[in-house]
Order: sequence, then C-alpha cells, then structure tokens
Amino acid sequence: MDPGGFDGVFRSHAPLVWSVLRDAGVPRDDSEDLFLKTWEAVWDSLPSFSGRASLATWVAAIARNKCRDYYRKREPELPADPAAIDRMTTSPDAPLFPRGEHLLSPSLRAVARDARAHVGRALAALPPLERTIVTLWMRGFGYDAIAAVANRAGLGPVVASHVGVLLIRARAALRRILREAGIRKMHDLL
Amino acid sequence: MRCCTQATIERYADGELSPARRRRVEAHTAACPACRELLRSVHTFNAVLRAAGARLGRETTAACPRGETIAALMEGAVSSAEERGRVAAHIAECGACAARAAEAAEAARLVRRLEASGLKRPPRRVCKAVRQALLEDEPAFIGELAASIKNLFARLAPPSGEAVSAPASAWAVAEPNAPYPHRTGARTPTAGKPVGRRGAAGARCIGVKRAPGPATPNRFPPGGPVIRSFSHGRLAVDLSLAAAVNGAVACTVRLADRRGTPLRSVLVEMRKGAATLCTAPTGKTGEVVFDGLVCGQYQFLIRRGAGARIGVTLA
Repeated sequence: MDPGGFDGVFRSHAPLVWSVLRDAGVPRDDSEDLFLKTWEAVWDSLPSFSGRASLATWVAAIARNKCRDYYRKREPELPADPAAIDRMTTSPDAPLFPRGEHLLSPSLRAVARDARAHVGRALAALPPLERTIVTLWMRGFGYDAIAAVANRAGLGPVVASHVGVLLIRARAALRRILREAGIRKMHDLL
Repeated sequence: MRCCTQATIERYADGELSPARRRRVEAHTAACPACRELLRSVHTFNAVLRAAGARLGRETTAACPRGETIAALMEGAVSSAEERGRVAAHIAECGACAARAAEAAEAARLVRRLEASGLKRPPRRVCKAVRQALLEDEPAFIGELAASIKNLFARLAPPSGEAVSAPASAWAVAEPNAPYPHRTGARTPTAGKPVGRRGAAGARCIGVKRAPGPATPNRFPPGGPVIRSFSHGRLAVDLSLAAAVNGAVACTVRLADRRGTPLRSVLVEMRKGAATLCTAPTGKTGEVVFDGLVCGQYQFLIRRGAGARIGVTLA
C-alpha cells in the first residue's frame, strides 16, 4: 500500500474513527491524541490488510482497541480501605470493560487466586456453547456479540435473550463446581 | 412492589436490561434491602469470577487463523465452505479467537449504529496533525538524518591513508581482524553475492560485496562502536558504526518505537547507486547489521508501515 492509498483510507474513514472515539466517551483533548494513535496503528497494519473483511469494521476495531487501552491506563487510584475497593469494583456503575484483578481488594483477590485453577477446570467441563458464552462474558462482551459468535461458530442457533438464560445457568454450574471444589468463600459470595 | 428475580438481577448486572426495566430495578433496589444485597453479591461474584478467569485462553497460537479471516467469517465474507467450517470449528474451541470474533462483531455493530446516527467530522486541525505526522514531515527528517550521518561517516571512514580531522587523543586504531564490538565472533565479509546469517542477540548479519584492496586499519574513538540516535515522530533510529576487518565498517541500524520497544521484521534495504545490495528484516532486538562496508555512498531505505519511510545516505 503506497502513501496515496493510506491517504484515501484516511479521507474516507477519519469521521468514523472520530465518531468511535467520541462515542466511547473519551474526553475531547484525549480524543485528539487517540485519533493520531489510531491512524499510526492503521498505517502500520495497512500493508497486511488483504481486503477480505470490511475496511470500516477493521478501522473501527483498531479505534476501539485504543479506547480500551486508554481506559485501562486511567483506572482510578485504589482507596486505602479494602471495603471501599470492593464497593468500587462491584458497584453497578462498574466501567464498560472488565477491571483487572489488581482492582479487587486483597481478600477478594485471594479468593480469585484460589478459584483460578478450578474455574479453568469448570469451564472445560461445560458444553462448548456454554463454555464459549462464559468465556466471552468474562471478557466483557455483550449478549449480542456473544450470540453472533456462537452462531458463526456453529454452536447455535441462539438469540441474545437466550444467551442471558444460558449464562445464568452456566454461572450457577460454575458456583456448584466451585462449591464442590471447596472454594467456600467463592460460594459464600452468593 | 414485587421483588426482582435472580435472573433479572443478573441481567441488570450484565447491563443487558432495557432502559425502562433498568430504571425499575434501580428504583426497587433503592427501597428493598434484600434485593440490594442480592445485587451486591451478584456484582461481587461476577467481579471475582472474571478476575479468576481473566488469564484463561488469552494467547493465540500458530494454529489460529488471522484476525482478518475471523472478521471476514463474522461478516459472512468467507466464500469457501471448507474454510468457513475450519475457522468456525476453531473459534468454537479457542477462547482467544472467540474473543477476536466477538470484537469483530461488536465493531461491525458499532459501525452500523454510528453510520445510522450520522458520523461526526474530526476538526481540521486534528486531521492536519495526523497528515503532518504520517505523510508530510518525512522529507525534513530524511534531510536531517542524512546530514548527520554524512558527517559521522566522513569522520569514521576516511579514504585510506588520509589524515583524521579529529584530535589524536579522541581516536584509537582498531586491531585488524578484531571481533566486532557488538558480535560474539569475527567473520570475514564474503566477496560476491550478499549472504545473511544470524548474529548475536538475534540481529541479522549481512555480508556484502566489498572491494579488494590492501589491509588498512580503521580509526575509531575508544570505547566501542560509535552510536548516533535520531528520533522523529513514532520512530527512533540508533545507528552504530564499528570496525570491521581490512578497513571495512559494520553498520548496525536499530529501530524502536516511541516507547523504546524494538521494531522487529521491519525491512531495511541497502542500496548503492541504483542497485539494491541486499534487503534484510530487523531481528528480535530491532537490529539489522550490514557489515563489510567500504567507503562509498550507500542508501538505507527503512520500510515501515505503508511505504518507504526513511532514506539516508552514508557517504
């Protein structure tokens, strides 16, 4: 791809990138910085883009990744009080993207650490559809995207509302497995 | 007021209720301690479960299809039924690729929504900044780099027998056939066709045709190779020159991004006149080494992103 090709992509997709950044709630000053970073990434990757997928979707995905990096770096400072951390982490106003383990209080982090191996085994024991659904939910994807993936991967047919039902069942199964594995604290959370 | 079911609470915690139902749940949980406690415990369980599963199946492997192929599958743009089946079966088994597929699905949905609601144009000032950074400012950089390296090279590799213009105390005579400062072993540059091999620390070592002639020592400042660093925009270039054998010079080009992360697999092309002597990618350390260079005029073209990004002349 020659620079002229990049220029064409920039002309046609600059409004889309700007709209993605503004839609994600990035403040205006930071949007300008992320706009440049997004186009740097597009510049770097454009030669490897073969045109099989939609260019607009590809550019938008790069912009979304930049937004995710931006929010990850700006996670709030932890308060000193562990209970306050728990409230912050588990409040209904939790951010769009799932938070890192480091934002759990020490006690909850310990529970997560104990449960890690069991969660891996429990996921492996789930049927493929439920496993895919829980895996994607853990990464913060919405029901619509999860349903789209399940259908394309041949695990469906499943609609978004049914994803919710399956997710509730799968989480209940995980709770049961974790209780049987002796992760009592995890079970006691519910 | 009736209490919320656990299913409703879980959907609320997942952010999947309609705005009206969401408001009803919020109003109810504000007044009902039991439902508020259930909501708190669901949030806590979900947070811990996500943390526990955060590192599961995140890494892609060599068997994973390209991200663009996955995106094409999600858009229904894979025409081959065999390929469609193969990629779909892989996504069903691979958590990392399922996540990439979900990313593509969410991006496509976002594009549709934004296009339906009308795209916002970025300010002209912002577009101009992007153009300046990516398209328009390279010639100035090339000029600056070329001038600096030209001066450097003129001092380091004078024609055989000429006096060095720097003070005598600043220079040392390198031993002929001594190991290169940046390499674990010496080698004699190969006359004839360019050859490539792995050097120390993953760098690529390229031998090029060198002119036959009498052995002449190189003159270098004491303390190893001379290094010059240049940075501009997103690219940082370190250029080091070291004594090779018989009056030749080894030139190492190291590329890094703004954060200092080495840029690997970037093609660096060495030219002399109109002829391309050799092209080699940078290694793990972001380095490519051209050795066996005799005095002369060379051009290095660093191919980065969508085209030739930097040209320098070593004279």
